Amino acid sequence: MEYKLTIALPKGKLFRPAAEMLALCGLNTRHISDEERSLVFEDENNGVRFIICRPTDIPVYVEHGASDLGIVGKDSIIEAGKNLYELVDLKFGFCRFVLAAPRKVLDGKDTYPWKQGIRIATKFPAIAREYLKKKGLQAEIIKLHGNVELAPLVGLAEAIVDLVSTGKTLEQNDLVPVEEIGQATARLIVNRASYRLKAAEINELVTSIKKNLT
Amino acid sequence: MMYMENNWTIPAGMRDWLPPEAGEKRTLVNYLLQTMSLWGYREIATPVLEQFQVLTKGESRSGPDYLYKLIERDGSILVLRPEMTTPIARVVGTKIKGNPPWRLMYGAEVFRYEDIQAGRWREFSQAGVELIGQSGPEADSEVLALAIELLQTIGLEQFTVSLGHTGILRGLLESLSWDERALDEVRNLILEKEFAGLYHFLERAGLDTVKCEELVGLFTQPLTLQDINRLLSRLPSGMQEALAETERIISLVDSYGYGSHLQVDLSTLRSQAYYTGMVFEIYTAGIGYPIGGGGRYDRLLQHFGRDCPATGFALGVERLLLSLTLKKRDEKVMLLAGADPGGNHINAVLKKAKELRDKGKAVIAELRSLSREQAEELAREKGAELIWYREAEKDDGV
Repeated sequence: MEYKLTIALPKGKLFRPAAEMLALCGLNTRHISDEERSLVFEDENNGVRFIICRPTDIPVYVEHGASDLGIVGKDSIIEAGKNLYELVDLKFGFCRFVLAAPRKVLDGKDTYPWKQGIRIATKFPAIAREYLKKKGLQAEIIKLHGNVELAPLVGLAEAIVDLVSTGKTLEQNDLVPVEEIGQATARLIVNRASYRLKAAEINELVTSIKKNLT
Repeated sequence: MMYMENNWTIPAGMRDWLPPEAGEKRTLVNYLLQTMSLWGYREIATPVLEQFQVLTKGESRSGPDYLYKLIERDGSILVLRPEMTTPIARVVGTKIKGNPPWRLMYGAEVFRYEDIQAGRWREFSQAGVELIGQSGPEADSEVLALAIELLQTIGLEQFTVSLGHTGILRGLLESLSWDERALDEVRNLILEKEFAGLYHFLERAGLDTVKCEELVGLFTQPLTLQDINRLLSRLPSGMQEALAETERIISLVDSYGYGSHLQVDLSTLRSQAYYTGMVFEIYTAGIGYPIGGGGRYDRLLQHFGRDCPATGFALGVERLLLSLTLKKRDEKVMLLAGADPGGNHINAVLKKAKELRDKGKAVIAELRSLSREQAEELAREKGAELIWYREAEKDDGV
């Protein structure tokens, strides 16, 4: 069938709130899940197709128009650096980017003792690089794909740049946030061609989302 | 099964064009150029390589650029042209004779070191026009109407031209009496299409909710002519001027009968920094990027010594090929072949081939002596219609 809209939803912690928000807008998301093998779901009555993918891949699907819309964290959008329309701040999925370092290095000081040759492990190299540039600092960036807090413990890096929502993970690994780099929430992103060709459908959804946000 | 190792690769982002695609591409480009020439445009060609300094005149991109660079033997930097507008501006600025306006067209390969997209490799073809030396909505509407006519005549059914104006953003920035850094931030947020971020920024800068909604809405909602009229009196003067000009352009495109393809969308802002007035992008169903775009660039020519206004557009040929269900040319090639160990069929084959080619038919003249089976096999393989000669004397075959 011909779909009016294709919406990409992120696996993981943003999935539930994203599905719930779309349900509030009148879409049928009750049957979709990010834990099944199936990655494509339909809402036949509304002519909408949902695809489920990794958060970091969502900007890619949307940029190429494989999906008209996507819901994804601001962090993934910055990292992807794609040509997208970022239409709505969905407010959920709030977290902070921080620079964190082992407690013993900080030793009661509240600034990090920067020195030459420091390595920073992160899942977000673009964000880390931008932060270093703004501060006028130099460091090597080591790109990892997960569990970044491990890196300082085993001597892979001196510090990390990571997303923090509660701070528990840092604490358990004896890491202390040194500085907040920025904040992120989930965003509604739109393909630039879809935005023109499916203007009516997209605007209807955006209006409905905005109404439910307030 | 064993695979033969194939080391004969081509550079990333490049592609080969095999039959029939290569022919289809050339047919499309020729067709586009032919239609442009019916509007009085004349072809111009420039070298594939340009001096780095020339091409950076039109662009002010910071950060890593997307140019293919080579070092000339004297140490200067050469660049594979990433687009045709700047090279044409160079030619018009330095070499062309006579008085404006000039109507120029091109079909050419350009090179950009970018991520591969659908219908976009790092070498791709553009067909476009530049109308140089004429300002005003008459010139802008002419190139818009020509773009629409081209797409219609090649049989593209569903497409939208979204029309914006760089004066809207300029007018907005002028009207905000903020410091340079804040203005840069607003400009970046709009260029990056970060409308959620723009809203936050305006809110933090002290604008009330209604004003924030209105400004963000201006860039995120498609506008109708009624919207424009309603907005005209309420906006700062710079923005008013740009909107009024947009309105005149639309009414002129309407006179061509092509108004229904236009959609005013002020978020349409092209990445090239040289645009100064109306800008547009063309979208079609099934392709996630614009298939063409253009706009007015009134200050590019002055870099090359001739201060004159200009407007134009380029269409992405490969993207058009993707979106077209091309009318396949039915005409088959013919295979003229015969069996005569003495080679006596050769004269008859050549004579017939000349005759058919003079009539514009495609002909393969096979001079080797083939058996009937071999000839039939060859015709099948090449999708050709076989004309068979048994003997030398029989002039007309079959």
